[in-house]
Amino acid sequence: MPLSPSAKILVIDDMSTMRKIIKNMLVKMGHSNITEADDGAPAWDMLVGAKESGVPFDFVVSDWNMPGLNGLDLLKKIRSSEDFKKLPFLMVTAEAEQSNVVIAVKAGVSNFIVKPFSVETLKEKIGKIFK
Amino acid sequence: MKIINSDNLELFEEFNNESVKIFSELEIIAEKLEADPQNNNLFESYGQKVDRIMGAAYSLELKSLGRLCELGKNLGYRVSQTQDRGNRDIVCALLFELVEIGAQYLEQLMDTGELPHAEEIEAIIKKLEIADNQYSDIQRKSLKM
Repeated sequence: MPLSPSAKILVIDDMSTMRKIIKNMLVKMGHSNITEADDGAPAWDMLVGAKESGVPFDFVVSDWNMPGLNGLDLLKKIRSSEDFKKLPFLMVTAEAEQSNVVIAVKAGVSNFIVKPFSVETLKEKIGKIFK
Repeated sequence: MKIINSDNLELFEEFNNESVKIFSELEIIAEKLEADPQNNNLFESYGQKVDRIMGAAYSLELKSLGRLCELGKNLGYRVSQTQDRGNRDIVCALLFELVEIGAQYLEQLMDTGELPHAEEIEAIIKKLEIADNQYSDIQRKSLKM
């Protein structure tokens, strides 16, 4: 089922510029319910808080390289949790190193996207997750 | 070529503010590296920080700045995995120069709204590519896992 325009999306990146770029793209795609986090640690708290309040996130877009809790460790934490193990997770990476891709796939990533990317590419990647 | 306009000014200003801060942090690391070129943690830290500017620069179509930071990232991560390579002093000097040229690039970009002249940045990119090639046998050029 395609990602609904009202879906609750969490965008995580330590560079606010990148968060804004991704958010703008998602808005262009028709999404409006977008929350930002600057690291995996506050993102985890947001995921838990949203779940507890009965309005959980539907989709996560996360950068890989972050100084606190990085994208891979956040993904592992999500997949090991009963509450979030099926939460769609798009990993944003700076490069498509084969070894990194394999690690992310093993950790349970739903899809990954390499910076820089266009709205069309983001749309395609999301489309493959929400078939 | 004018690339900053009223539609994207806020985004570029935000990028500039974040990048200036990161370049200041990189300058401190580069100074420490010049005093202690055997410190692999500092090289790793340099690679991780400059990586942050790289992704956003490429996304804003600042290709030269993106490439500059990409090479700094590669070198930082790659050198951090070596022990007895002899070129560390040269690499440290290049990483220091990267900070200087990168900061100048940003200043020109924000002053004029145009892509800065490429000569200086292309010159250091060439030097960084030569240095990076000397470490090309080292596979990992991104975050340690």
